[in-house]
Amino acid sequence: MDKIELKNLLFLARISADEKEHTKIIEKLKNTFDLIDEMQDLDLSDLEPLNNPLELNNVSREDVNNDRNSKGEFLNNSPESDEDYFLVPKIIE
Amino acid sequence: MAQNDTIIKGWQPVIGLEVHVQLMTNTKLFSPAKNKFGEDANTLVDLIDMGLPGVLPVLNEGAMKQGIKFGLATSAKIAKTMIFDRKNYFYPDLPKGYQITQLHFPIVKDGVVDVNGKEIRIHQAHLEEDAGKSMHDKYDNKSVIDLNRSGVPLLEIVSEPDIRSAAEAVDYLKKIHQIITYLDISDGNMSQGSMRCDANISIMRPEAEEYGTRAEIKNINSFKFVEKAINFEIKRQIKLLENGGTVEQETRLYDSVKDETRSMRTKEFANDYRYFPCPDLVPTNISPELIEEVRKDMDELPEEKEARFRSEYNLGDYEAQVLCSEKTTANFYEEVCKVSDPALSAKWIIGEVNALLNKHDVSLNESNINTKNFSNLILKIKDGTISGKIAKEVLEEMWEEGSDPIEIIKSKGLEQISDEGELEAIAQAVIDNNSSQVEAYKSGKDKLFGFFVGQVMKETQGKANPGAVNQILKKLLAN
Repeated sequence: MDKIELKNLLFLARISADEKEHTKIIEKLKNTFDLIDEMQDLDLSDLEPLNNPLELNNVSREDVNNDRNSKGEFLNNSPESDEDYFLVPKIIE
Repeated sequence: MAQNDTIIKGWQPVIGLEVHVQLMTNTKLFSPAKNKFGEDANTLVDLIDMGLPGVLPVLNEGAMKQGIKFGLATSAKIAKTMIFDRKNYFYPDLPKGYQITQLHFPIVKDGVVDVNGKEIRIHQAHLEEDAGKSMHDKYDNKSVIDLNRSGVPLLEIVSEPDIRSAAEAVDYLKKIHQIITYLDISDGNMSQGSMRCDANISIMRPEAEEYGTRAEIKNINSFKFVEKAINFEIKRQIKLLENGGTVEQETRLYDSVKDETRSMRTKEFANDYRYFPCPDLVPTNISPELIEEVRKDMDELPEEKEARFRSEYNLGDYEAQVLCSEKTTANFYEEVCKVSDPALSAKWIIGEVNALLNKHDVSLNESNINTKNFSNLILKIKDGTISGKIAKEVLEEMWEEGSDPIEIIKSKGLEQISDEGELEAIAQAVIDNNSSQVEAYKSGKDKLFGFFVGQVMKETQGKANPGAVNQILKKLLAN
């Protein structure tokens, strides 16, 4: 893990961190990676991958409409809106 | 592996398609908001679609059943347990900052469809949510977001790279379209975005053992553009490789106006989606009972319908295939057959009606032709009231005005003249007025018979019964 990789990671997660903090962050991440490396060394070939620690079956719902739309409130709660839309900085295509 | 007729300048194209299909559920994949196209902006949005803090997605059983249906229709494996993952990226039309999708444990795996007698394998089909819609024209310095589409259920159908030409890609896409519309799980409307297609394309030497590097073309929204975009991309890659270049693994956009594909600038768009299992949704088990329930509820598939049409209406392979190519046409035909002659109805739908649909580029549902007025037309042809030639005119009028053929025939006086006495008088007059042709005919110019038929038709404005005219002329000219 170097500074360039860290910058990419911070960008992907949209996290801003001061340059001065970078060394500290890299050190913390390195600890995590070391732990992962340790796990990689274990022989897990006879185990199924664990996708969720809860031994539950997901619940589903019937395909029935329940209108909880509150357009005005939703729009007003956003940083910027007009009467119909959420407004965001211009996306250049 | 290579098929000679698909090789272009010594290169074998290798194509795989990813087809996104919007499912026709009542509600969204994880929220109870309505799933509907064309409503006022931001009126079909739930707290869950907004991605507000603290809300939890709850899976729509309807979407799950539709996914299972597609799996059953393509002889695929239905997952015993499926798992939803988060695909993380930031874009303003994705309020949560991630899309819930399925990566390693999709609902459907290892399917297959028959395309012109060739098996195209389906790698997987997975459930995921659609994003909202961003628009850029309303303001100079702002984009606007409509979240009505946010959370609409999609089934992404990923083929294996089994397709070898642009034409085959179109046929595969049409097959998928046919299946999803037959199953009633999507309207498959490409212009409204309910069916969208990305294509992975590479080229290789026919004798090579490994595929070339592929480029992914996004944003293809019609059958015609699928063919054009793929053909452009194949040519681009051939030119590149033959000039010593290399194909980059990248995402390209198809521009239908310029008919070209353009790079989306690899580095800026380089995505690292950091998939991980969605902690809000625990693994979903699909029971054999649920699969059976879905199977029982399944509509007839195209091949089954074709077989039934062949035996029930005594149709040939070609006729059954054309009538069943679209479910709306097949249903239309069956409705018409309840009152009209199956063979004659088939002939007129396959011939004249299809010709009109193609000419005007509309579907049967959008046209003025309905089962009632079309049945009446067939009845009037069958009972000899109008000739085939006049029937074409009547059909044109029905097409334009949506009126009933019985009314058209009456108001325009188009009834066929079958009265022998009347026809004989007209035929006799034609013979009397064309003595030189009569002489030539009698001296062996058999082909002139058509001339006399034509003259009688002209005199009657095409209303004479052609069978009767033939008989009468033969009789009169034999004298």
